[in-house]
Amino acid sequence: MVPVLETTKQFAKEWGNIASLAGVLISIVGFTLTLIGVIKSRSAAESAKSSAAEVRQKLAIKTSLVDLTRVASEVEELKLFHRANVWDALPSRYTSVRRNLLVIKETYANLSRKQKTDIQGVIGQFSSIEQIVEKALASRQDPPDVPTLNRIAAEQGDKINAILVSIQQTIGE
Amino acid sequence: MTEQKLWELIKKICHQTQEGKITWDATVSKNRFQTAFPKFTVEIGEYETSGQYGEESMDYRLTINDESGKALESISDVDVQTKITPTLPPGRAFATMRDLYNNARRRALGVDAAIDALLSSLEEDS
Repeated sequence: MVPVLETTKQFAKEWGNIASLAGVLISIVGFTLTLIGVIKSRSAAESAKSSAAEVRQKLAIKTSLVDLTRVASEVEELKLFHRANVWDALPSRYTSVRRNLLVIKETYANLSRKQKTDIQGVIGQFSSIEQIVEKALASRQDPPDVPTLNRIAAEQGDKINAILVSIQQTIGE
Repeated sequence: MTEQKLWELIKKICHQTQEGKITWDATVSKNRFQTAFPKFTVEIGEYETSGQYGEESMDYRLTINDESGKALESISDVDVQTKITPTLPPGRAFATMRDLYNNARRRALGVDAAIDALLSSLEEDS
């Protein structure tokens, strides 16, 4: 009876060792597979995040183009108003141009320091023009030196167009 | 303290304008020139004033405007000389701000570039 028990005990011990080893191996394989899965999903998540950021940036660039084009048109209209001496309607339009430019400058992170500086310069110029027109309206006179007023307005339009062209070029890159 | 900083700012802008590091633009007023920074604009202007005995003289005024174009601070050479830094040698603030105005005007109107082009043209002719 004793040899049977000894044989059974030996058999169980060997299989126990094999089972333990197999368990360890399965754990290692399982852990490795899990790790690969985690790395793959993280990489996919990062890729998706990067794609989303790229789409957001492209969308921001296109929206900034639309907004700048609208402001450039507003500036063109201002010159027509100057030529037609429609001074009463102008202060609110100068304010609108300045506000829109300020929003563009603050909203779009893709603008360079130079572009932001140029936009700020345009805001400053229209603020000066607005003051002159407001003073003229208060004294019930036409603003002096309308050609200069239009020359400065045209220069600001050119600056906005230069920024537009520069942003358009970045789309193809 | 703020006043001292303003005088430092004027000197720095004057220096950087001389070095050609700051771009100036003409404005609707023929005696005012503007330079821009990402969040501010700065104007330098020349104004006629009457002196103590009724004689005409020139004052120079620097104005800092905020993002919306509203004036934040405005200071003349007389303010600098009399109120801010009374220890300055007489006429120093006037000379500094006049130099700034003249250099800004030349930069804005492209006077230096025109003189260079003329000199080069004269050299080609001779």
